[in-house]
Amino acid sequence: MTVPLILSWLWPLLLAPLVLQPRRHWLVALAPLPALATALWIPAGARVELPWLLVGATLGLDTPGRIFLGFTALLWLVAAVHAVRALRDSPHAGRFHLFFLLAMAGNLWLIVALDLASFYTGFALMGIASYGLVIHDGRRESLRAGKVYLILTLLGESTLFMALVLIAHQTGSIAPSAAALTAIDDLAIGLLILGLAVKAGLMPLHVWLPLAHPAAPVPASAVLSGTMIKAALLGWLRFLPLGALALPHWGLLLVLAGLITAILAPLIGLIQTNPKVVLAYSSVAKMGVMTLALGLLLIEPRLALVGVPALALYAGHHALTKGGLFLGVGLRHTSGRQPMILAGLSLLVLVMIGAPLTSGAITKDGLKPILEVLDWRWLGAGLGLASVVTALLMARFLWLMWRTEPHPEPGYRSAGAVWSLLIAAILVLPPTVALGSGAQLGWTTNLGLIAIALAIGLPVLLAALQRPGTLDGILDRIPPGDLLEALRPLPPQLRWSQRWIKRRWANWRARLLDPWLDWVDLHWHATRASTAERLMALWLVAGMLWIGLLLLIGLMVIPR
Amino acid sequence: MNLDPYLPLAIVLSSALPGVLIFLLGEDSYRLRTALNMFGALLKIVLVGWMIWGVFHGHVYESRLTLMPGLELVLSADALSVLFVALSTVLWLVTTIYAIGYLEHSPNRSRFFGFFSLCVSATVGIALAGNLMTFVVFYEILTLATYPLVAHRGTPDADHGAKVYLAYTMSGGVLLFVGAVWLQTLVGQLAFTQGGLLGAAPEALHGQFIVIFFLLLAGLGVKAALVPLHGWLPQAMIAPAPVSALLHAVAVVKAGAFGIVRVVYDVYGVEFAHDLGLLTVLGVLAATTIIYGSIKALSQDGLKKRLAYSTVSQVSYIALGASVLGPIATIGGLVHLVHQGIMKITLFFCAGNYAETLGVHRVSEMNGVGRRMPWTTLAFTVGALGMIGIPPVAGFVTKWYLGLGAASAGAYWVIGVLLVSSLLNAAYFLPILYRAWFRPPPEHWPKEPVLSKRLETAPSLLWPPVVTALLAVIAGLLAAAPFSPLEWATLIAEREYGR
Repeated sequence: MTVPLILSWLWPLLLAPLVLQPRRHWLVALAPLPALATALWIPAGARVELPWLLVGATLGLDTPGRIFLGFTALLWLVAAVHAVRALRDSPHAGRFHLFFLLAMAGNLWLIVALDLASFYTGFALMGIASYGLVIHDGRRESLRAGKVYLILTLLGESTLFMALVLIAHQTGSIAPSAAALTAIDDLAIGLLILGLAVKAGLMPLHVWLPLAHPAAPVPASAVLSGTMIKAALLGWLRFLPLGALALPHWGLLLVLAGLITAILAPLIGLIQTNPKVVLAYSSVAKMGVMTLALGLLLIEPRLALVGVPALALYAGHHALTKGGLFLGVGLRHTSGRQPMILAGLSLLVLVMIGAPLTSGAITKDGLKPILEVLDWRWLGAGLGLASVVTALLMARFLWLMWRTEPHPEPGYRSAGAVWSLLIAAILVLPPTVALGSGAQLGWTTNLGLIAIALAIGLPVLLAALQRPGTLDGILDRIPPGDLLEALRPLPPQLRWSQRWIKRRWANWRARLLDPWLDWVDLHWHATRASTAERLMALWLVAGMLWIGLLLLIGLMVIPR
Repeated sequence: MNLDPYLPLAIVLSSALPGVLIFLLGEDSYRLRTALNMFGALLKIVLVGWMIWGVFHGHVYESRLTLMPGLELVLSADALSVLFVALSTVLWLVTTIYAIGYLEHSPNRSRFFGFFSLCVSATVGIALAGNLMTFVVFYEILTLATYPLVAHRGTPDADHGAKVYLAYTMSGGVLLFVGAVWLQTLVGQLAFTQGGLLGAAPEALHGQFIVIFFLLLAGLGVKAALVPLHGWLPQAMIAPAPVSALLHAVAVVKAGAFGIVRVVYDVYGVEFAHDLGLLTVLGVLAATTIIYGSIKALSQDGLKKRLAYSTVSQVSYIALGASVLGPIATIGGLVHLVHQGIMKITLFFCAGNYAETLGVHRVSEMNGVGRRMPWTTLAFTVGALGMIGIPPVAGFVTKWYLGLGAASAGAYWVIGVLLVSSLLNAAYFLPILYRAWFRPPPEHWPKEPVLSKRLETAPSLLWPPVVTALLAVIAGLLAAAPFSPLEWATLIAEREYGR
């Protein structure tokens, strides 16, 4: 049991130095295999203590952990096969594969880590290594996206570090149990939510996501948007006192933030022209839905037993589907079998909007007990609205894909084959699992909402077909990274005002001090000459100040 | 025959005697000098290994020389001294190998290696000092032994840097000496005692204790580069790379930090110092230094200068750990003594490699060095990430324990300082890494002598940073394994807090 748990993340690390050589690039595809095997064969509840690792590590799989490990390893595998071909002719392919494997190792590590420090290690490794993926092509926009990504990631990681330290202190354990987690205070909870919200792309901290995910090469976007942002959710599921404690205030905060994200992000995404940006906004929206469900679990802790696995399954559905969509964007550009690709993309879009009998509908049905536990009418209405705009967003994505001009290249057969297998898994797995566990047939839930979306979308579609150009005016009105653009004028203004203050200060100082300084200078030069002596004198001043300071303190304390 | 009393003395002499012999050698006797150096370094490692084993099992090693009644030179080994001795010994070996490669064709090698050995002997003496007077003696020897190393190049810049260095450290030494004598007149012999020895003194003396603490702190703070006493450190950068490496990682700066730890824990006693309110002052000074050093480092273009300001900042983590009451913070501070040493020495080795192999001295010249020198740059990356505190490099372990200790003591502001410092560290290290790995290299490097046919640089320059980088990763990844720096620091903290 110990070996597979360690090998899950160690294996990609061991392969990392090897893939720098062009003829060994294919090794990337082997890297997620141990993790996949672990997810399949190690039962949930496995737990090993490794007292020598880091500051004393505990590795294992809990129920959400096993689900996470399964979909994460699967998506990394498909993306890796794609990457081997897609990066073949790109410069610095070795470097890309190196960072790809490091990020993969981090992502898998944090899933099997049950203690705080190992989780942080995996999280940090993943976050930092992904920088190399984001800026891989070296274009100006990518560099900017990388900068934004890195700054926000570091801020998030530092906040997370603080939260984890506080949790370790307050629970008295580095691998706290659910019962021990009830001891953590509001500060720790707030920092934990804030630190991970950056990775989750919760508004207004989502600005990096629509920049970074499209900037990275296709296979990297797939895992960034599919699995890596889910790490935030896993962190929340593990380290918030779910099921043990009701935290209505924090819950309400998450519900509101999630709802706003889930409605606003698709609206911004609708007017984007880059299909990868559209998908990124869709990811932001879906993370909003997951955050909302998490908030409800905080309000109603008794649902945690059902809710946590349901949420993990929903995350898995989204990860695989979104990863499939991103890889599909790549294949739409390069593959030679375009009808197949378009059909696959359409299927994935149907899954994403939750068409009946797909994993979208099934996993959403699993979330239903949580989403409907509270009799809040505005919440129901908001969720309905979110579903409608998401459906419209996916329609927009399909439209963009339809209009994309492919440039087929040879050699994408294996990438295409793995992609089809992924789609097959997405289509077949969830219904069988749901049927196997005897779930009720409530899969038509989304039908009404999809109908509304169609009713809104069709006129727009007709308009776009009949009079091309009418809608161009609103396209790209809000650039990717929305809020960040609003902040763009700030740095130059800051620099300007800084210069202004500096100049003013220099003027004033000159006017006030210069007569004095001239006087001192005159007398100074009369007595001292060499620069060394002047420095010595400076040191003398520092020393005198120090001694004066301690004499002062001494005088204050001696009478006591 | 029982050899235990001679062991500490033997450890000091194992580098001092070769040092003296090297002075007598001619400039050309390269083999003999190298053999002497390596013999000393390896012998010291064996002896220290023996001592580690013994101290772990509770043996007492003590060499004693009475100069006059009431004034004894004592060398003894407790867990804390062993930590510092082990660090100095291992890094001395690595640095010696590096220095042999670095100074291959430069003049005055005998002088250099002689003082180099003396410098390490003094450091080990500081580590093993059993009372405050012995500490002061070796502290002064260290000052004198390092001066020729800083001035080694003999250029006007080097002369100037060395002069400033001497002015600062000698003045600091005087303050330390005055403080130590004053304290000795009040309470007699100052043998370092776990748990402190001043707590039992009558209350009437407490006022004087406070003043003495500031004197001692001023003396030690010069070497530990506490702001505002750090001015010499960036100027001493002019020294050859192995000297800078040793100065920053082990010898001078660490001696100051180690002294602060000694004074807080084994002279005053951490609880007593806390009651007097001294820890707060130390904490504020350390925090100021951490932030100030990092901010200064941001704007340095010279690579070694940036590293120097980084040292100013990082060494104060040790003082910060000492300033927070509680065993966990103590562990964090003590373990950083070792962690900062191996990470910073790696960074300086790498800086030396860039300068020797490519003539690159500035951050702005470092575009694409990762492609020309991948192994060196990899080592540099490990060191830099460790400084930021990114796991699994050793720096993370320090940060974790300091943060946890601060939380236990209720000193949340310390966590804030750690956070700001990490972000600043990221802000001045990550741009270097970006340049090195992602920017295209220039057409020609400033200078490019052929140092090796197969490797990216001369082997004796390449292996030391690679080895120390590996050590930094192992110290972090296997932090909780037996005999790791962390476990040893835990042992010290247990003994200091009497558990």
